[in-house]
Amino acid sequence: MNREHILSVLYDLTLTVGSEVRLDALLTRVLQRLLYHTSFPVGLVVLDQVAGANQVRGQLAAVIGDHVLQDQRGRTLELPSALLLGKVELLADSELLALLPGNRPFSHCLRLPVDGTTTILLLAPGPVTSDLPLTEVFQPVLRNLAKAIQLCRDSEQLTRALESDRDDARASLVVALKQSEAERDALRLSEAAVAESKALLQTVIDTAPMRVFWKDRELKYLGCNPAFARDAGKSRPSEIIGRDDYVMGWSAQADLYRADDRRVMESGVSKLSYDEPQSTPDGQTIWLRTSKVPLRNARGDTIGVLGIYEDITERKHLEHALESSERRYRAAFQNGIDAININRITDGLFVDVNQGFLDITGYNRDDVIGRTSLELNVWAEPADRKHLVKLLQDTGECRNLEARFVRKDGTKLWGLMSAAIIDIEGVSCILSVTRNVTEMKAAREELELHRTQLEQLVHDRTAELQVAKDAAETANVAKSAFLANMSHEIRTPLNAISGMAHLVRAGGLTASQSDQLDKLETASQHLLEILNSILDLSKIEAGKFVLEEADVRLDRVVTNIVAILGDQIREKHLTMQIESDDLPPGLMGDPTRLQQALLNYVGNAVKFTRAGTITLRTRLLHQSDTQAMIRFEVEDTGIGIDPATVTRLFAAFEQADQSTTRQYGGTGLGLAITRKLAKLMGGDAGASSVEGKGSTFWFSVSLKKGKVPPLVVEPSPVTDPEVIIANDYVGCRILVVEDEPVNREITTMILESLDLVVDTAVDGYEAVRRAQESTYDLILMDMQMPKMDGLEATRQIRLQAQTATTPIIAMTANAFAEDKERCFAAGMSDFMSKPIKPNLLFDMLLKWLSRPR
Amino acid sequence: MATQTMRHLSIEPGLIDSTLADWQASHPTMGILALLPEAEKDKLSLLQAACRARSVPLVGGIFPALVTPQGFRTDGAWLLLLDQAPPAFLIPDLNSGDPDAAEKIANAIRPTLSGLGAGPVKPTLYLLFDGLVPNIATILDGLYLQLADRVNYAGVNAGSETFQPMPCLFDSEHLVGDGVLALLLPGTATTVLEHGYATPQRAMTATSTAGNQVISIDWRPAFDVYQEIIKSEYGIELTRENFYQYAVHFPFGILRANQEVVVRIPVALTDDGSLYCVGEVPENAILALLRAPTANAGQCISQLCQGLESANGSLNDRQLLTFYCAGRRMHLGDDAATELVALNALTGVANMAGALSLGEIGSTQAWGYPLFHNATLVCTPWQGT
Repeated sequence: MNREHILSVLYDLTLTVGSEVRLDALLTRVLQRLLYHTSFPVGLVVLDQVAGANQVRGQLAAVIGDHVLQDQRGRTLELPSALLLGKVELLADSELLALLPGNRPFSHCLRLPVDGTTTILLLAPGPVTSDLPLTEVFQPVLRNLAKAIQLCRDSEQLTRALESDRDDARASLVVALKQSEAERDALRLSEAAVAESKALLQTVIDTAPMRVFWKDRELKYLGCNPAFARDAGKSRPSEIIGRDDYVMGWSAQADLYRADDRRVMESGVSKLSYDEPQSTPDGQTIWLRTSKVPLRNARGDTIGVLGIYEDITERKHLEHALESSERRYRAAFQNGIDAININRITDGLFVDVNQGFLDITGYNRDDVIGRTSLELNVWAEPADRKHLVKLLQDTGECRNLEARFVRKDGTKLWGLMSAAIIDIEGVSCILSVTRNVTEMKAAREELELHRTQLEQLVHDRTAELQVAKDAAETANVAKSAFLANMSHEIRTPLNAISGMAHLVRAGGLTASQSDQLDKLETASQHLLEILNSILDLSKIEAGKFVLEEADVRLDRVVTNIVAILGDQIREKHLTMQIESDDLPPGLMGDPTRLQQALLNYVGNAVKFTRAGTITLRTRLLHQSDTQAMIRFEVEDTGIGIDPATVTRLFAAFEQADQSTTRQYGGTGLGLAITRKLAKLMGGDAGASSVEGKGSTFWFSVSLKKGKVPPLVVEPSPVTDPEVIIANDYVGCRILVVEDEPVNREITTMILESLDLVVDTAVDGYEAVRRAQESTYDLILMDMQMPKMDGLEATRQIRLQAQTATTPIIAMTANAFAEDKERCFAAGMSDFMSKPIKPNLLFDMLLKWLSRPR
Repeated sequence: MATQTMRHLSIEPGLIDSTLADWQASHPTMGILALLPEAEKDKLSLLQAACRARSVPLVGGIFPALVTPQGFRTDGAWLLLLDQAPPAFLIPDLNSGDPDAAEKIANAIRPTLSGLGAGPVKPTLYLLFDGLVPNIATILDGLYLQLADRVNYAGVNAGSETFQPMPCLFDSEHLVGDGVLALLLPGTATTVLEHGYATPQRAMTATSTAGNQVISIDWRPAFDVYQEIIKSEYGIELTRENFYQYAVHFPFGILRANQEVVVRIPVALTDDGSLYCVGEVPENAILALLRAPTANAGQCISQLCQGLESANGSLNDRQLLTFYCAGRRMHLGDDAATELVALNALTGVANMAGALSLGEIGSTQAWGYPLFHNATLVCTPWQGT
């Protein structure tokens, strides 16, 4: 087995030796395998040994297993010859081995000389046992290793040489390449320079902002630039080659041009910058500034002529315009009515003045030119001059400086001066323009005086008006309060009168008594109408009158009027005629006020017509998509009115004459109210009349066109509420709250006549108490009472659960709309204004008693 | 009597915590080296949590089984107390990317080594590899080239006895595979390694290898040759089915010039007849076919004890960290435990802790070139404190 064992070790080492091409890797790998096989912990290789007397110098090429020796790898060591030189040997000389600069002491060493200059040392701190002859085993491998080391070295040297050659070749190639590129670049640059130069010259000729041409000695064109070709009416320069000036658009000047050309060629002297005309192909004449030079070849022979020119037509025009402008400005300067003067800044001398200056100041031109304003003493206030100088210094100009000046004769004038610094041919001057404002200033001062007086006047008047306005407003408040108070105070007794009349009539009357009662009720009704008319008029004038917007059924309005006045018409045996245009459906407006106005007209007609016909006409004047203008006319065959009176009829409190009132009654307010209502409704009112023949009263209104109202089936006439209450609501309990004893009594009596049970309260406190103590089906509540008014009483009653829904109906002499609003806000269910009409009261009672609670 | 710094414990949080508390009271800067059997690997997180809770540095590995003075066991864990937590380097994915594995380890260790300075006793670089790292011998060559004699070299391989990939190296937060756990232990104790395999008479050439794979022997498929030799030498019919059962008894040996042999146990067989060993086989190496010795044949245990005492003095009443090759146990069967009992008795140690290993690192000579072995016992006197 020893043989196989040795062979296996050699085989392994031989494979290792043959497996590396780099010297460093070869030595490391060989050392690793040697240590593996022998169990020596440290190995090293010394290369390139040079023997001395007792020492050998060599490079420590590889180390494994000792980190101190490893740190010296690559260095040259000097070691004893006895250690490195000699045959393969297992050394056990601690003293010799101690000379090795390692980490630890070694006691044993296997020396393996590879060749005369290379030695491997395997080192151990103690004896290494092996049954194999270690000094023999490795010798064949060492010879191979020597060759391998040489091969690696040769290989590395060859590699280095090849790398060097490669680098040299690469460097040479780079140099040659660069040189070649440089030459090629230079050639390319040279050719490019010529081409570029040519291109540049062509570009210069083509793009020069002037025309260039050249002709041969026969004065035929050899070439030109595109600008010249365009002037000649050609699209390309090549089109003019070989032609002469006689075939050009400027043939009229051909002889002129050619004469110049010949002079230049023959004399050899250039002709530069001269102006000449040229006819254009479209018949215009333009101006050229031309230069011509002899055209010479490389030998200096004149072979033609080269010309350039530029079109100066525009410049010529400008020069001409400038001359005209200068003439105009000079005229303006000289002939202006304002004083214009020019002074040099450096010394203040007058350089120029216009005629206006001389006229205003009274000086002659010779007095002024070459002198200063100080010398002439033209400034009335030296401070004004200083102010002007400062303004010019600070801003370079002065605008509208007002100053006083002194004329030659010593009189003074006011001037409004503007000045600026200008440059005249390099000299800084002050240009001043001064307007004589002496008269204007006087007028302005007078105006200012008037304005001040006017302002004072306005101020005084405003103060007076404010006082008047305050007084009016105070009066207005007083008037409103008066009206409300008057209304309340009149309605209260009226209520008693109408109520009592109702009760008296219910008790049965003789014919004479009935007639007397009729008159009493008529008087009462008249009083109420006056009251209502005054209130309406007052509201309209105060701008507080609010029109309703509801469906207007004009047919129904007319029917109502006929129904109301039907008895009177029949009694007087008058004929009532109704005429109407085809009116648009769905009109919207205030039907109550329309009826009121119309009723007034028809009522008057009935009143003032003894016999004949009353015609009520409704006419559609015009309409748009949203509005329709309707005119109502009431024509009668009555007494008529004289024209003078007709014009006064629509003023308040006017009738035809005072006797009319006495004869026919009326307040004299109806027509006034009608006209105002018509105007509120976008129309007007008026009348025409022929005395003794009759009158026509009209008014117009603009009604809104709304949707067509749905067809409403009219309920059949109800049975009289008074009868229903007397039959169906006997014993119902009513609380009447009223502070005025007569009214309280009358109301109680009316209610009791229907067999209703009535309790009364004299003020709000009592009402609240009674409402808590008893259950009432309905409460009639006055508004204005001592201690607690009806509003507060209602609020408190509503707070109680058992009376939260009890109908409470206001019955009050406070008849204004805002009163009604306050009642509803306090919690009342409905509203009646005094005087109470018994029928209205019955309607109201039935309405609320019949409701389920 | 030496301090009891090796404890076998059930992996129960309370028990571990009380042990840690006990040790921490007297060793506030301590660290723990833990050995877990494969069967208890799921309980590692409990151990890690317990150590984290007490801020005790933990390192260790998972092995096929644990070694005890009486034999082997697959439950609980060995906790070994280190007075000072040693510098530890847990490096995963050793063979992926640059630099190579040896340089990764050297780069990790070098700064700490420089910091330690040149003390009177150099530290031991104790390497716990994942047993499935295929090029450990090459890594050792590289490490020795770089670190040279700055450290002593020792170590073992962890992992599963099934040779299936399993993360097996850990610290108090991580568990990694395909890597190494490198510990710089105080060099106060010398690690001794022994296998007792004799050099055989017959040799053959591994004509084609790749790392730890032997592809062909004598220019024929490796398994065919292996099969024929076992048949002719020992009369055993080796089949694909009984391969692993017999292979542990007939490992390969790589012969060295110093008459020693490095064992390579074949552990797997591929369809094309290649054999996988634990550890590399150099290409074209002449391999010997070994016959594994019987228990204590060649005085393995007594030589081991002798080596230990020669390097470390008497072990009487001391503690011993012992790794026992898993392949060796498979070969010896119950006799493996007998070897452990004998080792325990001969050394006279008070306690012995360790694990079954999947390859071992060390030198059979005290200062010898570090090698990767199979089938050995690797023993280190354990002082801990």
